[in-house]
Amino acid sequence: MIKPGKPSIFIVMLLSLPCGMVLAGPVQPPLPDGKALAEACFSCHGEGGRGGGRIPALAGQDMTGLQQKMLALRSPSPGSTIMPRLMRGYDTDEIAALADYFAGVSP
Amino acid sequence: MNTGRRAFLATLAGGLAAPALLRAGTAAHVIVLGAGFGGATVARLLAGVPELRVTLIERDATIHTCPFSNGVLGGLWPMERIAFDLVALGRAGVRLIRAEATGIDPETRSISLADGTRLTGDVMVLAPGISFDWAAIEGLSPATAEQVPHAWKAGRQTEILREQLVAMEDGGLVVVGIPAPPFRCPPGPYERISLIAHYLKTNKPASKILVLDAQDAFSKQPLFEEAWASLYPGMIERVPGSASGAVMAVDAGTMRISTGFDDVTAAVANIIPPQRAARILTDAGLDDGLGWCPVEPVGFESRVAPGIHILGDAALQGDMPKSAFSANGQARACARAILARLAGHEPQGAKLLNVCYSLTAPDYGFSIADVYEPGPEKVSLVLSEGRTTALGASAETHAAEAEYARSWFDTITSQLYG
Ligand SMILES: Cc1cc2nc3c(=O)[nH]c(=O)nc-3n(C[C@H](O)[C@H](O)[C@H](O)COP(=O)(O)OP(=O)(O)OC[C@H]3O[C@@H](n4cnc5c(N)ncnc54)[C@H](O)[C@@H]3O)c2cc1C
Repeated sequence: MIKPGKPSIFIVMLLSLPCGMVLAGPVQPPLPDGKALAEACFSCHGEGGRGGGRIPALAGQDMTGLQQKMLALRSPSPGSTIMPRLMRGYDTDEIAALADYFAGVSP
Repeated sequence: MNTGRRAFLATLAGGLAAPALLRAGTAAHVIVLGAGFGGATVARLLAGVPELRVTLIERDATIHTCPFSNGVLGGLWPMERIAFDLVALGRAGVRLIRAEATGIDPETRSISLADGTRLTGDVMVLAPGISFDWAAIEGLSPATAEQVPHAWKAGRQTEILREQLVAMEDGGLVVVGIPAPPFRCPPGPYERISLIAHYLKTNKPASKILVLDAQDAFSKQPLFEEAWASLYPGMIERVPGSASGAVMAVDAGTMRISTGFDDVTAAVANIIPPQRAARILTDAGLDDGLGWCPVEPVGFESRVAPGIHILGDAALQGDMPKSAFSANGQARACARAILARLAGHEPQGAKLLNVCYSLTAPDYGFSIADVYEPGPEKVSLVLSEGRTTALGASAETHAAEAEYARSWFDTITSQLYG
């Protein structure tokens, strides 16, 4: 049964409100919503980034390492296919939010 | 209806942003139409949320996906590879109703079924895909499509076209008719031509493919033409729209296919009719007379009827192509918007992706890969340059992209139906 006026923990988890909405002071713009951004990746990288077939898992990896990998992927390198084309569409804040989200998912 | 529940429903419908929305006591009813890439995604994500009751209406017991149906035509894999049942959706807590929906009343958010039942939802998510504009091509109809298949909705139509290709004698002429845009899957017809060519080259090498195209330019054109020149030299001839390529009439009895300029007799003809949003949506006025249903770019809520979300091929959202990848991303954004309203927040937009792989042979793939962002008016493409695999890419790159295409298909279908 639902408690009056209080969203269930389930909804709060599903929404996973961007931490910026809670933490940011008046001067800082809110951080992008990492979960919402990350959902666009799930149909290849698996639900939560836990991996899908030939596409690597991202969940539970080191946040800084992930961030660096994603930043590096903005320029094509030998063997790269679609990732440089996608990553150049994200700014550094969005990449930080994505890395932060995937790092926090249990693999 | 008590005040709390009314406020709750108004909030879900976008009318209010009251934090008191969860005083309802009863779960809000979400009705989803269509268990394709848009509908199944939303139903699966919202099933199990205690505050929601999710009903999914789908006419077919077995979903045959259009993605990878060209591989069936090319003999790369059997029909079973693209066939999925809805058992897992039921197990996840979705109430499944297998029925033809016959009408939608946007005012009351209710939907009628063929047996006369009427269901009313607090929120509606409509993802019924496309309808064909049969009248646009003389002689084409649901009945003649048994002889001249479109195979642009997968299932029996895919089987018919496959059986015709298998029965055709070597040296036969396969005609593929492509409509003017917008149609579902912009690169789909050209992937199909490629994989039919693969089948013919392997089994009936004296055969030819004539492409009668209402379009001049097409998606990933340089990449397709590069692949055709190297894989299928001399097998494919294409007449573009500017050279009167558009199919005007079909005679299913004699297999005469006519453009404004010429007539040909086909051994097998695959004529894809022009398209618009599914008839049930246009009949309800949800297309605002445009043929496609205008929606806002964050939660894909109808511009015509509040509380009604329209996803996938039927939606007029901006720059995203009509693809399964897009429908899935839109559905995730829609589920987030519904949950945000449920928690009393204004839905926030986030960037979306589309990746469409095309196969031109089992180990020869390439792609278009894009980022989109919800703008104030529509979903907009972020970068308009360098969107596709490069021309002259190595065999390893094409093999890797084919491998990733198969991986994407297996992952997304297991998320929806597995
Ligand atoms: C040959 C081909 C190849 C393709 N390849 C790709 C690809 O590789 N990658 C990609 O991303 N996209 C691809 N697509 C595009 C993709 O199939 C569509 O964009 C996608 O299916 C759209 O999803 P949707 O939810 O809008 O509609 P659909 O997936 O068509 O789902 C609609 C569902 O609603 C049901 N329905 C409709 N009306 C009613 C009613 N009145 N009552 C009950 N049920 C109803 C239908 O039975 C259907 O199951 C391809 C398309 C084609 C034709």
